[in-house]
Amino acid sequence: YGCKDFVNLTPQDIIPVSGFYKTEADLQAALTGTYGSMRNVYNGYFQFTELPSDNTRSINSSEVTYGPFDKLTWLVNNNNISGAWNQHYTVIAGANVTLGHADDVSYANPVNKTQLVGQAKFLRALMYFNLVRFFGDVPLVLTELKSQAEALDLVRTPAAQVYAQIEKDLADAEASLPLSYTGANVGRATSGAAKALLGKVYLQEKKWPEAEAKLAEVVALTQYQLLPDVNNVFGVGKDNNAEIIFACQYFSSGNGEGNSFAYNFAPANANVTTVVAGSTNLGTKDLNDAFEAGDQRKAAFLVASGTGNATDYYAKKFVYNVLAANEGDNDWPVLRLADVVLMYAEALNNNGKTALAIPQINRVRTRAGLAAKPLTLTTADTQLAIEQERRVELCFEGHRWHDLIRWGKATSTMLAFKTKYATLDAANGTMAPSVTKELFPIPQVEVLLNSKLTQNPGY
Amino acid sequence: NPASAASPVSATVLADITVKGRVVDDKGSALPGVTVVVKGTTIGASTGSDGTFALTIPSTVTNPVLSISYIGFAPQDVPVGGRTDISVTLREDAQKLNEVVVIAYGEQSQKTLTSAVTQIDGEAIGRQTVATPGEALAALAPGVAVQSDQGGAPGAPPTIVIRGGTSLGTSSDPLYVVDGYPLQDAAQFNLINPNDIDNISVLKDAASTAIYGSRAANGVVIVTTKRGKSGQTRFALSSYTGIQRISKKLDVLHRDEYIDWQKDRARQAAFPNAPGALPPVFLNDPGSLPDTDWQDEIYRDAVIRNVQLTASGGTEKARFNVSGAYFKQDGVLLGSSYDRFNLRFNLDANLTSKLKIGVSVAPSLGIQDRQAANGAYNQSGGSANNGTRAVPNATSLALLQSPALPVFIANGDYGTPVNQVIGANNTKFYTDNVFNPRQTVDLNQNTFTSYRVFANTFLEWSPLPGLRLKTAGGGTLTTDNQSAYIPATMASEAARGANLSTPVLSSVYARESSNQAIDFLWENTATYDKQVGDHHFGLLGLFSLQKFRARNTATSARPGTVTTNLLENPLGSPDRIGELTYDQNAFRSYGGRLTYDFKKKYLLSAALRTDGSSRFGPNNPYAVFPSASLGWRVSEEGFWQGIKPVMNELKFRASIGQTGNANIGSFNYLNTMAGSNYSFSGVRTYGYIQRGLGNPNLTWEKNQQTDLGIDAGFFGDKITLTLDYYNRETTGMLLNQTLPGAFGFATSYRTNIGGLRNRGLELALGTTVNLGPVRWTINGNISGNRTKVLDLGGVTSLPPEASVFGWNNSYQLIVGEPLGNMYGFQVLGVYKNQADLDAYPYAGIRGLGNWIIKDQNGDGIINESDRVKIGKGVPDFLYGLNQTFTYKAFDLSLSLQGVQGRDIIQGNIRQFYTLASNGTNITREFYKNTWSPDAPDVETRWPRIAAGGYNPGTQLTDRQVYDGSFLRVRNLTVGYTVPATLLKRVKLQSLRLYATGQNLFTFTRYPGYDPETSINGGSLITPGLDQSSYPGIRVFTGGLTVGF
Repeated sequence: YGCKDFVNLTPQDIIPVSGFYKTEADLQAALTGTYGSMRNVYNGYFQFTELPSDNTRSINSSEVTYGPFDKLTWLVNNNNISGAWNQHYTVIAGANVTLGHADDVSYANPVNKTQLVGQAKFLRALMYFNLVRFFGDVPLVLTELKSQAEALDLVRTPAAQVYAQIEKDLADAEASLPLSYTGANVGRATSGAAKALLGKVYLQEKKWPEAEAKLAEVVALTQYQLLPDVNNVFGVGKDNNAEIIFACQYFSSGNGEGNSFAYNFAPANANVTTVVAGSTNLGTKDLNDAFEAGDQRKAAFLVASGTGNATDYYAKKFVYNVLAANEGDNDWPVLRLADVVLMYAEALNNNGKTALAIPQINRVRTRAGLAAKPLTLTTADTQLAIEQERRVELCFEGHRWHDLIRWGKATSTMLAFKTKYATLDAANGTMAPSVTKELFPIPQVEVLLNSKLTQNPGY
Repeated sequence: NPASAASPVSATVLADITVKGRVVDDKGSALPGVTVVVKGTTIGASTGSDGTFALTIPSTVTNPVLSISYIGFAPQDVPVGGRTDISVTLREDAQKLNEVVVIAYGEQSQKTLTSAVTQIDGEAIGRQTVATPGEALAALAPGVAVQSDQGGAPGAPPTIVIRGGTSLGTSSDPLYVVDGYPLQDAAQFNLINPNDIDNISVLKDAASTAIYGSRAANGVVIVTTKRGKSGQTRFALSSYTGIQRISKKLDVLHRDEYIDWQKDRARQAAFPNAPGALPPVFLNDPGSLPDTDWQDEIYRDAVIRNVQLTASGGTEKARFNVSGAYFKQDGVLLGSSYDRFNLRFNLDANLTSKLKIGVSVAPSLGIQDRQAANGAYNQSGGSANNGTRAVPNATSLALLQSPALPVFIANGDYGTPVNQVIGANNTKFYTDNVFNPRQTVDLNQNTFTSYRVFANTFLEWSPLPGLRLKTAGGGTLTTDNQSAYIPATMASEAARGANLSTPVLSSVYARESSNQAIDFLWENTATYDKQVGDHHFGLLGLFSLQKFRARNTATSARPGTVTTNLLENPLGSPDRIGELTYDQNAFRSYGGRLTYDFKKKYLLSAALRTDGSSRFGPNNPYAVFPSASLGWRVSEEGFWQGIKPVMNELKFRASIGQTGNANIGSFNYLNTMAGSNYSFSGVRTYGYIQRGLGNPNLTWEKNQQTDLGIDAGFFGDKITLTLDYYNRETTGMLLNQTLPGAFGFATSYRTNIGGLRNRGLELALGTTVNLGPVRWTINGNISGNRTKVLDLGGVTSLPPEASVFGWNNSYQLIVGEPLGNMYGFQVLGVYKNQADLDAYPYAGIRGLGNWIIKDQNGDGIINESDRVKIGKGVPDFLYGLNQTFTYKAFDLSLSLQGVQGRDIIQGNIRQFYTLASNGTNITREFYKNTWSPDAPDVETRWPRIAAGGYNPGTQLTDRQVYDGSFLRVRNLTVGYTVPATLLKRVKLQSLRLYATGQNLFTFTRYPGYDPETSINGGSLITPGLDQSSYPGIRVFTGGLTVGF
């Protein structure tokens, strides 16, 4: 009798990998799953891009979670850093597997495959751009890893090579993606998003002519508009507006697929919303004071609570009355036109086209109800105007820290901040800015596992 | 045997006869309290203090026979044969080593046994007033560690580990076999009515367990339930009722002291979040504040009760034992309780002289109301959750909550930090997530019901003498339901301000889950027993199939969708979420065993089992487990005969074998596609992403164990001794191998890489002493186990684990070290003056009153490299001492349980220390031993308020680790058997009255509730951790057993 089969059981509630990637629908589901895994990346993105800067702080500074990012005291064994490393590579692995199986199935329409490949490459490039800014040289994985041995064999690829791959992936994405989508496809990566990201990559690399050229293409696209009222750019129900080029999409459906930042940024003990949550990302007094008199964005982006030195400035851009920890409905804007316009201005200014740069700055300023900057500003003053504008316009969105690094001002700004605010909050006295902090350490667990992974200097 | 005749029908009319007599022991001393019964009738008597008895035998009884029995003596049947004066000499039943013990797939004489097996009499289990048989096993057998998971939580089964755990990656539970049926898990064992158990055999070495192959690595616990014996039907009603109380309260501050403490804090500027915010009422009118004893508010004296009715009897052809029982235990913590209903029907029948059947059917129902009692004050941990939601931990809150808060306020609401806005400037003084513990236990509802039907039948055919062919089929059907409900009025992290008058509907939590499991077994054995001259052979062959399927469904209300507090289940929401998971596994096994002895002097046994399992990866579908053992009874040799009067028995035995641990989970060898959805433009789109790394080589954990043992008996087995040494090495231990993050789909995967060694000594001693009329039986055992990590898959240590939140790196697993060691810093004292500040290096902020941390490596810097071993969670040894005394009609039994050389991390200290700045309470010990600037020269255990550097909030030090050794009077029972002569008038056969105290006294230096606690249960890596688990309880009961 069939005794041998007695112990050959088929799982009822799990889908083995070996049965997947057989149809176009499977591939599309794998791509969606890759997008889905990106939600984790942007839920925690603020820790690495806002908290270290002078823009924001965390009320949790005494505890293990966010304090080290706020005070620039993170160590090689920080769990959130290794968590972010893993989350980025999950998206990359999802993209790699999607790309690896793209030829295995037949498509209803050849363009489906082109777009599938383009989106996967866009996501992969976006993740590597984050990684290379966070860590410098990182292992460049472009195919599915199938064993522990393969994973243990990885070495750090020089940043220049990683950037080259990012540029290549984005060029491919730009060529294969449509300018826009309709209906339930809105929110996928577009050729405009690929252009804008490529422009941002060039800018971070200080490839000013390439940045200017690519960003000019985005600025010229008519489907992206600066909304007349800055209040309409952020908030629930305002997702995918004309200013958004690419956003990490979150949706509250009671399934834990919403964002966690709306809840985490909510007040721990004030009355801004009825929710009592984490206050993990608050504006600093310095950010509040950075807004010029009459800047409409101060009221749109910040909400002050408390008095005097005990005032907290909540991130009104993202905070609303969300009831559960993972049910925030608002998206995280990764790329939006105001960012592109200001990057374009920066590229122009660095290419000696200051007079062309200033009108771009003014597009953003005048929308906020501020007076236009005169066209007679010097190149240096224009740079300062760009820095000011980027700081207030893009606050909380995860640009500040790498802007400061690009401008060569990260360490000096934070040393000045530490001195200035040590009396306001004694905890600021424990801040430890230094040039080494401009890169995060390669997670200790990775180095211990694989001695071929060298550590960043200073850690 | 004339007594086996059924009710005789006699035509001859004879007169009733009166028989008197005397019962003595073999030294001629009178034996009082001996039961004398006319066989086949209910007529009986007890002997008096002079050993005499008298009874009347009715004329209807032909060929009367007296059955004479007395505890500790071999029973005798004495035909009356027309005599009227009968003297009987009872001989002591000192045949301990002659007893037959239950082993795997059979029984064997203790004399010829060559493996390490400890058999526990059901009586020692049944007399304890505990909910589960697992709890009753504590201290009864050497090498068996019983670790309560949650202190005294009603119905919470303990973790049982035999000879040290073998597995770091999965459970080290032993295999439980009930009446031949291997159970899927310990939970099923713990649903058995302890009083239904006839005996439990604990199989410890590889020779005794290897026949259970891939499930035997952690030992085997064989349970035999009571079966009927032929004879008149006997009914017994037994019942006890008692009261439980927490064994101690912790000494926290009362109101006035608490206010003094808060004033101290305010003076020392220790309120960073609310400077100077002492509530004015603390200074102006403290007497107007309540003085709440929160422990009194949540703990109660609770009832424990058990009623059982048993009928047993039968004829030579068919015998039965039927029992029904109801056990009820209200928890000492409000809102917790356990109720269990059991029925058991065991039937054995001889169909023909060669054909026998047996049937066991045992339904049971357990209902448990749980409260969170484990872990952090605001978010309980693990098994203490309600459904999937962490709830406030009342046991912790009762220590932390301010005594100046009322239980209820004027409008009927619970007094909470939220409705007590009494800080200066109308600011909050209390942290609003230190909840009212009474509110939690009153409102949190978390009910588990376990319904189980166990049914097993066998047919046994003996075509030839010595040959038995047996086929057994059975199944267990289990339904476990959980009903979880958190009303809108209960405050929790999800709704800190919720109260009776301010319900927060969005925080209502309702979840119902149901796990249905069916397991069936078909097992066939052939045994052949043959004596050829001086050679004795026993052969066993077996083939078995076992399959398990489970389906778990759950429905919960979608968060935030409940709009009414009226319906307490998920239907209260118009929008619900369903869950469905499956589990299944199958085993196909065959094996055999040979036992051989020559003149019962040279003994040999060997066994082999092959298991195929669905759990193993496709590259390793089958496993083979061999074992062998040898024994030599020196005392049977000719040269020994001179020694025999002193040492009547001496046996050396040795065994070796391999066993496996197949608790590796189902389908863990596969990597899978996991749901990973995304929403494009607010439309949910369904997606998948790969998860895990497939491992087709995944296999059972392998154990090799050797055992050397001695069994000895002195003075005709008046004293018996069993000594065992064992060495068990585990290889291919299931561990999570960490993967580089760049792999992407997993950060670790399960694989067989680790190695672990357990070595130990076990000693059991038994003796019976007769002191005149007092008979005193002593059984003692002591065992020590030493673990050593041999291999962690190439690395020298695993990532260290935190103990409680904030105390990182407390437990470390290092190759060459034992399991469960605690690592932290050594505190030398506090900085009392400038000289101290100059003399010792410091970590972080320097200041008087901070702790001085020992600079272990002398580098002048205090950092992670100064962390050293400061405690051990695994005890040096366990011991038990069980004694029974009988004197006339009185009996007394006393069980002591000891655990020696084990430390406990007291996790509550972190909460006391860090939360104190938010107005929480503290123990008096902590208050009185905190450094103060008012008395800077006084050395204290604890640093100053809000100390810098390494303090109880940030680091584990030796100051937070306590000696957790204890000696416990586990059970004291005093009984009185009413003489049969008195019972005759009320037509009762027997009546025993007794009083029992369970956990009467505990001698320990541990200052927490219970030194037996461990919030991580039987964890091998993080043992000995206490953070507000369920307090230990003391139980007083009175009971009776009536036979009729």
